[in-house]
Amino acid sequence: MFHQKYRLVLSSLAVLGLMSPAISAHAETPKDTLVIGFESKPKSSDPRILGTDANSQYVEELRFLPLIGFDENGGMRMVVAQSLSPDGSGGWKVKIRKGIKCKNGHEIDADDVVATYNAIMSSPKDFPPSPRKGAFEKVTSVKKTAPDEVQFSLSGADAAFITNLVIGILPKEALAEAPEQLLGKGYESGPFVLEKSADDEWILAKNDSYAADLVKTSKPKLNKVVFKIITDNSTRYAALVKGDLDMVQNSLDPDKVIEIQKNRADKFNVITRTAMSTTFLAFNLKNATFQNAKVRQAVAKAINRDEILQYTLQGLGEKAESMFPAAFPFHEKDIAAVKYDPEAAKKLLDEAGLKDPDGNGPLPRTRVTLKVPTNKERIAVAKAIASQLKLVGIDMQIESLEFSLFSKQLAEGQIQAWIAPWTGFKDPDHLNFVFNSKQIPPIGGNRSFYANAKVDELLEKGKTEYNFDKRHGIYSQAQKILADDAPYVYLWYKLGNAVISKNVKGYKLYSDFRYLSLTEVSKN
Amino acid sequence: MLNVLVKRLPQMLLVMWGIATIVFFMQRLIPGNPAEVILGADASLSAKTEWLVKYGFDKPIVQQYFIYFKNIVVGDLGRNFSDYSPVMSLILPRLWNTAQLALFAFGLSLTIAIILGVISAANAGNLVDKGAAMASLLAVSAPSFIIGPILMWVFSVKLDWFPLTGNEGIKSFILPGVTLGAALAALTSRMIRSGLVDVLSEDYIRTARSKGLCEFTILFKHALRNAFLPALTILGVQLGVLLSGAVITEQLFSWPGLGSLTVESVQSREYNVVSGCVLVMAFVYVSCNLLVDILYRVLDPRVRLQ
Repeated sequence: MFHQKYRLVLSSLAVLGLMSPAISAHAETPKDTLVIGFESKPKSSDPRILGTDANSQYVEELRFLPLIGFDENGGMRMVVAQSLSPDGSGGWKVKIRKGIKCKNGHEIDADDVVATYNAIMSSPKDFPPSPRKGAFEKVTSVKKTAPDEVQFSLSGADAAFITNLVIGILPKEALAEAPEQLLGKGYESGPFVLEKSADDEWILAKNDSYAADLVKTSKPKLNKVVFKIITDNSTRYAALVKGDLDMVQNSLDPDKVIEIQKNRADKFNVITRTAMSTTFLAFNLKNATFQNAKVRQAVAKAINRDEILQYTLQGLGEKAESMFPAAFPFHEKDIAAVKYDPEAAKKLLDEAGLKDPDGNGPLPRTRVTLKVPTNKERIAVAKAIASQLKLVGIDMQIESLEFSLFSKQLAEGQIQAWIAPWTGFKDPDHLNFVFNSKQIPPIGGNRSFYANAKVDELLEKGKTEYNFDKRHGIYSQAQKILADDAPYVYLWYKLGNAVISKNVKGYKLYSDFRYLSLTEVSKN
Repeated sequence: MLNVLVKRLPQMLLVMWGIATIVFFMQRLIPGNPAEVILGADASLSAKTEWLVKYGFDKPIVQQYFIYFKNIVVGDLGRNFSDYSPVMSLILPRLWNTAQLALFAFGLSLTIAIILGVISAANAGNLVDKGAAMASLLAVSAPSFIIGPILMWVFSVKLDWFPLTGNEGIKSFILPGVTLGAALAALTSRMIRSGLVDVLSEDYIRTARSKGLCEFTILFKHALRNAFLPALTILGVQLGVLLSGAVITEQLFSWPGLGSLTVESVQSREYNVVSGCVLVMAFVYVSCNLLVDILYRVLDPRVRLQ
């Protein structure tokens, strides 16, 4: 609540002219240092213990090279792995690249890879289980099969498994150390080493030993990168405007991004790109109203996404018709766009038996509840959708819940409809997690309680198919069925943004928002 | 003084035990568990279960409570779930940050309050007094989430007199210190003023004046000591509030203190860190109250502990 009050105060100041760019003090950060605003402190950058925290993962990949990574467009790229190949029995063989050294001179080899992955799968006695262990439940063993080869044996074929090989490789001697003892030992093989990890800032320094040519990137041009932790949105914005920060990525309110684009274009560049993040409205199919596909389709037609994108999200989104955006290799382009058509929606509702009891009168056709977590943007979107659905006779009540309560109710099937995003998917097997009837909670992520035998069959087939074209065909078919069944109304793909000071050159926005292009950044 | 300590100590321990117990059960009553936060809501059931077992969350709640309490007694607050660091190593630097800011804000507000209170009392009823009353009303009415952004924009972003965030020496304390201490200064100055107005009409003040003592000595040496007693209670409680972390001010100025750590830890279900923070805050609170009791006796020896 008090964030809204800050904004009110800041807005008032803007009106008073105090925010006029012409009289702002604009400091500058050192020329060899890039200062980036983070909205939260990375929890850890130790590959063994970091979990789902995005900022931790960003720092991890800058410090420790993984077997594989993802390029600017989300395509897979080999890093410590020189090549990957199926082992013929469901698992994978990984050839390790030679010549990748840590800052302390140690060369990353097959033993380090085996030791790192074994530490994830089976933590030392005094350590808790690694948060990443779940991704390796199908792994039966990780073995060195040649001086430069590692084999991951799996309990069953899994074409999507290789997308899990993104864990930063630690030298085996480092695995005996506690997380807080990794600092300053030169275990880093990535472009940067961690110099400081405090509550208010994390400082990375250039790693001169980084094997940039081997992994087809460039050595860092900057000496230091500082991640300054500023938790309050308004303060982060103020720090950027003042010149305490050189850039922020996806951590300004949409209205502030637009304000900078309009009024501060002389000092900042704003770059955007479609993210691997799909926001959707989902239905609980255990709910009698939403069991009927016509009701779900009617809701889809009654939502004016253009209006919400323009007025609520300030244009920072792109309409979605399926789970995967166009840049994703498994995007299905043959799905017809859902057009805003309130009359067609009313007709569908009539056909579904939800007649309007009093014509254009105040009584609704049906009453439903939409729940969202206490997220400012999602609440605004929910309110906009509710007002649009009212026009076709659906009375949608909005409830916002604290995230844990929201998750709990979702898993227990207590929520009729909700709005959420899926973010960071790397493989179409994500659909299996979300729509396979065997993935109904508490096991998986099918919180819609959607069940379609044909979809189950396709998603299971896709999981074990290693040929790209055949996989593409399978997921194409599954996505078309899902579009017709409409367990989700896909709303939009998030448009990520980075606001960067004009004197910073070379920064590129990755589709998963990793900061890997920092190696190419320089300052005037 | 020893008498006060002996009488207060059992009460302090009882309060600490009560708070530790309430925090333990409250955390387990709120929905969600740390496994879901650390591993993610999409983690498999077996991964979540293994994680919970490793931390002992599978045990009956009463057993968990006794283990928790036993650990507290031996000074072990456990480890942070997300980076596995000892909780004390997280809390101590945050407490130090908060203490520096709190003591600065406290000192600043006390200085302003005494000066403003004395000037107002000495000029009771005239324009200076009314101006001070207006200023105090403004400072009390405007909460930190209004004062803070205004100070930030005017004195940091626009004029660049003070840093916006971070710790760059004494300059970094000014804006958060004023934000935090403004209301306390206003409140205390009014209490001192009204106390002084009463005291200044006492016989012993008239006697002092008739003996030819200078007004400064009368005000600060003889009158203020007695007028200060009512304000002391407020100051004691407020020092506890400041030392236990001012969440909004810390958040606004990205000041990595105890208040913001507590809020972050509640959100991420870091049970051990939350317990540690609350216990430290409780300790600070009861200690401040004890300090006030002792100061009361120093300032007015007639006060006795019942």
